[in-house]
Amino acid sequence: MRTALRMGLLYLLALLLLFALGHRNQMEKARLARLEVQLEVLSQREEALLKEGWEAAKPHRVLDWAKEQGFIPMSQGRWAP
Amino acid sequence: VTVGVKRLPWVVVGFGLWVVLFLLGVHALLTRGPNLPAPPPPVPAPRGHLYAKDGTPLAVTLKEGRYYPLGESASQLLGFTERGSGRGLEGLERDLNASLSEGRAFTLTLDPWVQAMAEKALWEGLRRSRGAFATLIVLDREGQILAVANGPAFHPLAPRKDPDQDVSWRNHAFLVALEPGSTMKALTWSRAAYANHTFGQGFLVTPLHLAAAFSTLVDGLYRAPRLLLGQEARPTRVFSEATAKAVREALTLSLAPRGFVPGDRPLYTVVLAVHHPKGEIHGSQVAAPIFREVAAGLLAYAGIPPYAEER
Repeated sequence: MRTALRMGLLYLLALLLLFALGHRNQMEKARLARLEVQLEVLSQREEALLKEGWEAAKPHRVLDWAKEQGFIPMSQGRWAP
Repeated sequence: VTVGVKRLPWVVVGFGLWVVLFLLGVHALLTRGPNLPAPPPPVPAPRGHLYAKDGTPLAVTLKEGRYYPLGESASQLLGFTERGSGRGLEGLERDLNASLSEGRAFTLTLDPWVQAMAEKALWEGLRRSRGAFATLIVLDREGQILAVANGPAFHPLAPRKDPDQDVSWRNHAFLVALEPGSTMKALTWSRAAYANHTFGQGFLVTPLHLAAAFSTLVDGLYRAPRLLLGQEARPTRVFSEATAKAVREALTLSLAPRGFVPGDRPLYTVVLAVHHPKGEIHGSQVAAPIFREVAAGLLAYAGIPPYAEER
């Protein structure tokens, strides 16, 4: 009887260990999925920011701005009538 | 025999049974193994990027596909890719397709600021002259291509129109031949060119050829124009430095005092062509204002202050 109880305890312990391992595995998987979603969101944001930066620093845009502000190349004076 | 079997301990019987089952399992695995799905094919390297001389990205591969950060700027030179496959269809995307699709990146000699200055002046001039299309090339002293502007503007990601009707996608600077006309006089003056009598006014060159020919006036050396950074120039002498200097002086003093600057130390070669202008058709009315704007921008960019006319 004692042997049966011991073996039963061992069995329960092994079950508990298995449960703990499975739980840990599931938690890790969920965390990985969350991280992947986060990575996707961040990389989309990175691309959007890159595009915004490129758009803002476009030479055409900067030159238009300079013209609006009245910055004319000094060399225009060379051809002034 | 039955006595012998009875004598065998149960452990041995159990073990024997286990071995038999194990062997059966191995046999089943070997003969009808599980059908594993094939491993996914290796992910191809993303298409290589194109950069300008200062590191500005010109064509990059993002998640949603190819992207051109400068938009309409230099779009005809860079070309575009097929939407689905990403294969290069025009321009550098097509010419460098094999290397780009292996993930190789290239750095061009283009200067995005010179490119933008040239395009702004060219597009405005084209609008003014109501021409069909126009092109402008800027070379530096070493024969490196700093800008290849084409008009009308073309956005590589916009929906494309009929390629036969709409020519804005075409890089006229490298493709469309023009008759150099009197612009060639400056070069035919030189003794070397006179000697073989092949120069006349009835031949065709592309704006790129014309720019390369004109930049020999820097020091009499011909350098093939280069578009990729790191390509080595192999200059060949076509006329002496003295001849080049004399032609430059003649251009500066008499012929084109306001169109050849700075005559004493050439920095850039600008070739500009406006095709089929309406209304005014003379170079002085159509092309000269565009050149003046580009030259003013270039001189300011190079940090050369203006000097008095009679210095």
